[in-house]
Amino acid sequence: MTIGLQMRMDRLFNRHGDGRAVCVAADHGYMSDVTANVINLRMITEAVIRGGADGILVSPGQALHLAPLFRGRDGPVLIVRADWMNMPRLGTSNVANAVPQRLLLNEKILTAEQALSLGASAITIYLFLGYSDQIEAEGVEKCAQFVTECRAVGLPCIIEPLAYGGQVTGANIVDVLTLGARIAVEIGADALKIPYTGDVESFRHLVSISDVPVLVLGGARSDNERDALELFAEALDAGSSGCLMGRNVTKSPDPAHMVNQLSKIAHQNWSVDEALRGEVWEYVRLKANPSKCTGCNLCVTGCVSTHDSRDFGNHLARLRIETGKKPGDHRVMFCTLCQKCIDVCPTQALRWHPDSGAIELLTERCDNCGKCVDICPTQVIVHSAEGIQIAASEQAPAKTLKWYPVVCDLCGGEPECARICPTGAIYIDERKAFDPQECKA
Amino acid sequence: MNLKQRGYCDRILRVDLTAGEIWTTPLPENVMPLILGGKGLGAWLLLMEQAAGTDPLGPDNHLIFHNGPLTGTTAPTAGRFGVTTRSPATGTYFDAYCGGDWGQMLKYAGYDALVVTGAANSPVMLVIDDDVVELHPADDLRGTSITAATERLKNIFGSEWQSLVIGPPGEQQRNIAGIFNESRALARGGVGAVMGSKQLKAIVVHGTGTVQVYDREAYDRALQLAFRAVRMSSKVTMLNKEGTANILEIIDVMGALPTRNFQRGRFAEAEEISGTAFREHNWKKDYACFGCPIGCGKWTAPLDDGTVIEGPEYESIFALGSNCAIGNRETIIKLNWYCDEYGMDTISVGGVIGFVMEMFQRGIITADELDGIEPHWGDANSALALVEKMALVEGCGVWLAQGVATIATQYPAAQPFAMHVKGLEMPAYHPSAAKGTALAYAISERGACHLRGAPLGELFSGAADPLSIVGKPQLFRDTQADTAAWDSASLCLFPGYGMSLKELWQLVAAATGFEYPKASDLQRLGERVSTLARLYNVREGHVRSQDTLPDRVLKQPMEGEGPGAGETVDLDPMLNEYYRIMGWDVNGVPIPERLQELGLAAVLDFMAG
Repeated sequence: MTIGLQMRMDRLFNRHGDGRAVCVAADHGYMSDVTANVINLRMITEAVIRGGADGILVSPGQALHLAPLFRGRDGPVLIVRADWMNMPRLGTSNVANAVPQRLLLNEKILTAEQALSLGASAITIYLFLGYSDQIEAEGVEKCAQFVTECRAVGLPCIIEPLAYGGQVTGANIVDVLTLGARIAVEIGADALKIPYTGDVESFRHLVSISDVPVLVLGGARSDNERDALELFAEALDAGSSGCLMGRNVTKSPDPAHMVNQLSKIAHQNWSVDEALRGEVWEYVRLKANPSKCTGCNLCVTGCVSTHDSRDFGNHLARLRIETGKKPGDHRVMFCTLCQKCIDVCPTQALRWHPDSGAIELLTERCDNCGKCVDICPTQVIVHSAEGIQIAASEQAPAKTLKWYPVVCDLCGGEPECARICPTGAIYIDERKAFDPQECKA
Repeated sequence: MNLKQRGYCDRILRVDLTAGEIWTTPLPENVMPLILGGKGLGAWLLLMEQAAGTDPLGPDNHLIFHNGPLTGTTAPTAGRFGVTTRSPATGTYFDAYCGGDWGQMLKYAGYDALVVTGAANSPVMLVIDDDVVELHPADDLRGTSITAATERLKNIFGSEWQSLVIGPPGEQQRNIAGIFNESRALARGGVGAVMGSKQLKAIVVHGTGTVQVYDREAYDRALQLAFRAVRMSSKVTMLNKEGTANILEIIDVMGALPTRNFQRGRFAEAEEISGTAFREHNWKKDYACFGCPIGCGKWTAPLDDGTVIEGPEYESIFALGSNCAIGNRETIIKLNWYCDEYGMDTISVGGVIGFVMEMFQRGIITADELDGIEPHWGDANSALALVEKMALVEGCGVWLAQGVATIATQYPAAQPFAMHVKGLEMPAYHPSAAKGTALAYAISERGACHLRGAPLGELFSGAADPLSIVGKPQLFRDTQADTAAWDSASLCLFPGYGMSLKELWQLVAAATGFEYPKASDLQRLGERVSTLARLYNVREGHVRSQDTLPDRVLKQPMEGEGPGAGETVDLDPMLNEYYRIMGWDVNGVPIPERLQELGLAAVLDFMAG
């Protein structure tokens, strides 16, 4: 390895001395739509630098325009995209903005020497597998030529294998990606940028046969920010050296925060939960936005599957979706912690759970009078399917209840209904330290 | 092996309407790992239990409703269910699928499938309340529309009950009739006519049971990966944003949006009827079927006359829009309303109207034969008049509602542009501009169909050059096997725009605990299930001669502009290669060695008698 190559690899992967890099891909502008993340690139780049990005991938043109942002000895590493392709324009989502195209094309757009003169510490280049034999052969030739150029000037070459096209199926996509990784290494890649294979085991295998640092990419943005963080944590667990994540960062409402979370996971070994929360909450309150409810009932089945026998069903759910009067209208009926049931209970069998702040039933005090079931304004307290035997205690003799009221326990602080809801129609409105006095008020 | 711990109920509900008998049988335990459920179970039961030469509208035809091992869990779209029968429109094996909320209710009631045979003497409804299953008279529902019947049933049984009903065209056994769960339908191939032939107006179900999976920990993990894959897909995001119509513009740009009964592949008013336009002017609320994180369904804002529909979706916009040269969104909504209200398949109805409009254009049919209606291209009033005739099954609607193939037998001059395969009207991708899709239309076990493995990625995700036939047989074979696996697991195909077969395999393996060491085992299962359907058709005499396309596609270069202009389909070389890949002989019949390889030796013995 030449000294220049060594220095640049270190600059990319050893800023934190842990061999890991959190990089942001922001090179979408000349391949797909002129979307918000492309238009606001300068602002987004400033944000991700604030968030602590180790490297940023941009097109050659943006490398010129954004050069000042990369200044300083602690500035982020500049990675330059060295080829162009039209894959995003073969899709459906681009008709409105970009001219769709029929055939996949992939062209080299600058030399390693030109990249170096732009100030790049690495270049990235695609290798397509699965579209056609011709595209694959041309891709190998292009990558090989690049590796030669990069060697001559000591520039790390990051090859990005992509499994794309009619030859790729759900049954072979992991094999195609793994093959692509190995081909890239055989060509002489210094590092890889590659999509996640979907699970830790197969990605660990891919990393293990790659011999060079592997950066995982993020793919299309999920509205659920946990997805990208989880994917990244899994990739690290599988042995990856970091990420080159694009849309999940650049399309995020808060790119700086997103990069910060990724950094915490990569460089400080935070868990996804720690990165998401940053603090511990004890008391949760649910809220609904019925206009977002599509009536899919995942919350109902999700609720049933986390209680009782934990089998999947719709009976004895602690919440309910009601169909409204107008077509498409739904009402989300759930425990609002109104405490009418606590107040009406003649035997003090219902109380605030001391930890989660949910309503809790003390079965030994319950006489199944049914008053709580009747008074519940959202009618989410229901009769249990089976009765219960209660052993004798100091206060009371043994007894058998034919049924008891089933109340929402907020899943002990992580309500499944809010977790599974795909649209945010039911969500966690607030989390804070639990104070029974405040609930009372 | 306890199937009840592997995602199944291990019960098939059987109803003989002639004898009025109701009983249950267990699932064919040894076969389940080979066929999984859903499509696989339907194909297995139809092939093994139905005699050759059964009259589709006779009492001996089986009407088999089925769900799968994932149904009723929180897997994405796990409310999907299907029906398998012999179709009166095609005379072939026929399966249709539907979202909505009926499928998981049947599962919660404790049944993996419902097999209806025989025929009642007067209208009846089947009432399933967990273990209590009864036949009730349904005379007072006779002639009711879908919404009227559904409302009545909700009032009788309660709002949590789910119903399947047919409308007047179904009762009168018309080929364009579907079976409806509120706004969602098992629409195609005259499955509603089969239900009508049995005098079965409705099936209502209510269930309180649960579904147990084999390895809950692995299943939870598989759920996490599946949901993540769905959420991290821009194609799924588009489905939510603009419904299935999000692809309309790209299909138009690719020259594959069938216009004027497939005369052309581009529609001048495509922008007016795109998902973007509907989103901006007509849709006001997203709708999701049970268990669906996508929500491609859309409720419209009421039109001036109060008309509201859930839709229209892409296929309906093509069929009732561009195919009839209609570029007005409100007209499409109105036409769609008739189909939903009276229980008809929008693709077939639009196919008929477009076909009649072209016959009228060419002077092959006159207004006299159409009760005075003059169906000019793009004319809203005549289109509405025709659809109303079909909906009410009166006048010319009586024979129009039999579909394009039946109409064409009366008008031989119209045969070259009768756009159907095996009797099923063609869906919304012009085969001349999409060669892999053309092959799929020709081969599909249920006639012209885009959902039996048509490699639509050639049109809207650049999977391959749509105009080339190179590599298309292999591409189709792969997507066909994938799709059949998906239908056997009984999930909707749309999560598949984010998930791949790999995520499906993880779900299925965890839920059933069956020995599927690799994702490709599921692909093999898909091929096996498609082959079962093929074997049924071969038994009924459907071989290579039926694997064909209309003359308009094979012989007439496409008119107009766009990438497809001047194109025809060179079908024979693709058929040869596809048969070779599948291990079928030149006549399209699976060879015994291949059936052995697929683990179908027992079927071979059975068919040999």
